[in-house]
Amino acid sequence: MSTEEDTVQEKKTISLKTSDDEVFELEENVAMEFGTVKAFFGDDGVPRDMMMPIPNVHSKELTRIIDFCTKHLDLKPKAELDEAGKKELRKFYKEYMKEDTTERIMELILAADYLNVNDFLDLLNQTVADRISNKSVEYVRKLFGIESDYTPEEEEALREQYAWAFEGVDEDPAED
Amino acid sequence: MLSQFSFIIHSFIHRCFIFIHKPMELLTTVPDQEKSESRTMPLILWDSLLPAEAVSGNQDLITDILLRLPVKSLLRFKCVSKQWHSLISEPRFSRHYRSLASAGIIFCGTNELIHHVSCSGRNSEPPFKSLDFISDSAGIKILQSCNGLILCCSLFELGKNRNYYICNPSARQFLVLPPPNAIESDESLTIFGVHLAFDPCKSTHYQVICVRNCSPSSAATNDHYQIGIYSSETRHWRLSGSPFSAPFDMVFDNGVLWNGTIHWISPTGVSLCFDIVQEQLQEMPSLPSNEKWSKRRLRYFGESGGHLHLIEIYGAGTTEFEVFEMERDYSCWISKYQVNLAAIINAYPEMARSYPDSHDSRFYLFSILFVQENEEGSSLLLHIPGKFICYNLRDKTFKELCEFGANSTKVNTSFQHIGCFHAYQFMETLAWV
Repeated sequence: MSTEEDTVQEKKTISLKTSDDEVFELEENVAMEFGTVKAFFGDDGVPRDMMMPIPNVHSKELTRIIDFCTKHLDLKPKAELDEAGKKELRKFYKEYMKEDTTERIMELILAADYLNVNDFLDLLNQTVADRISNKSVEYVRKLFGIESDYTPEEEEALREQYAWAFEGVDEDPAED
Repeated sequence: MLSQFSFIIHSFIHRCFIFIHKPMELLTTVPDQEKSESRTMPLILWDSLLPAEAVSGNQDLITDILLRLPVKSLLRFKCVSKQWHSLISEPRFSRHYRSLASAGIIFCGTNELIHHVSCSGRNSEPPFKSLDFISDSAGIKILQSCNGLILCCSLFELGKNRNYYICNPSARQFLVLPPPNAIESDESLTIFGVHLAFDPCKSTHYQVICVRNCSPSSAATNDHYQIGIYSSETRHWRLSGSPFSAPFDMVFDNGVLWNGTIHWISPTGVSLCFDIVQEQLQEMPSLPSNEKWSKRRLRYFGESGGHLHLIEIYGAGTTEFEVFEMERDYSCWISKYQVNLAAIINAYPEMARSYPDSHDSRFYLFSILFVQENEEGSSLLLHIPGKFICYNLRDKTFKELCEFGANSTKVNTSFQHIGCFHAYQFMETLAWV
């Protein structure tokens, strides 16, 4: 990053302060993957050396989001070049969220949504969708903390109407 | 429960827990020691809900997650809560629903075997395995698949008119169409072709176009055909335009929908198209030159990724041919890809056959099922004895898609060993028939 000239070094980093008062310095190209950050600094106006507060995001989530964006920025251009690159990106998407609990994914969704990190949000939402696909109604209610507001008769009628959709449903997975 | 406890402890350290808003619903999901901290307050603090609840309470987030689920799960999840029910049932939701995960090609055999290959080439769970939820004594066959809706008809039964059905196989929903041959006529007329047009991006309604002959009393000497249109909006058939004439060999039951227009071709080379919105019939540019051959040998006519394709193959032993594409401005057919099957024949010598009375002339057993164009690339889907092959039209490589035993394919004639298969594009939809 340092230049030969004796002008002020262009840092090209952006500072973000999380809800737990930690300050992160990230490379500008990674930070600009965050829609909220991009909008904050804009094309003009707010100087890049100003620290941006992100009070709704915890350092734990931010660390992970930065990790995703850095890796994603590296793989994406390669995927546009050839088939091998595409394969690697597909593998990355498949493996990246494998070890995380569903709760952790929810925390990341809220952070990625707030920061407007669309690629990561896509992956996170897809991961949740894959985890609830073909699961039981009870499992989904428990996962999202939803109380059914149907009367027993209403629920029975619905279950009868879509009886075939209740067949062949996966067993509820063990707790994360 | 364990995960909830560990989360609560985690949250104590990192956040301040205050219970507000709809206290009854929240309280029932949280262990007892938290209840003492509950108070009712008029606003929700962002980090006071469990993350999963915050996601569930965010309409945009939960909609984005639900849009990615298969239809069967979505219909079942209408049971989760009234909010989910109304979200999933909203017309706006089904308009946005494009299940890319389910997008693929379905292969149907004469004995209703349905295989499915997803767009990315992985053999995934097929969105539906059979159409047996439509009960018809004669059995049914698929005519077309259009953005998740399927047009089928009953098989031929002597003395009975065919029934036509529109179905959404993912939702196990179907509708019997009123008989097309009875539009504005008491006489039972001949139906030459029926076609489904459905574009969820344009409208939640679909149309069915049929070509039938005219009642003798109304027709001029040469004009034998008439088009009828059924709309799911009006739920009835009406005639469109005036009777028209067409070459006697025009194949109306092999129509292809492209650009909101249905296209038909005939072996003599004349082709017609019908613009559904304008309700206009037009002639198309003539088919590519067939050189010295007197009879056209059409092997494929179909649409994919916004392109209209045509393949003709001349000569029994031919292994090279071209894939033609219609120009967007309807000016002419252009040769888009060159195909050489030599490498495939080398790999699968069972394709080669010779005529019983001559050892010199060979021919090759293959049927062209589909020409696929999408962002992933362009490929030709072939059926050869016992296998499906995907041939990449750009780099000329090929791979097997899936294999199935010889006993599942019907032997059509004494020397052919490829079954009669048709391939259709399919993607799940929530559209209501």
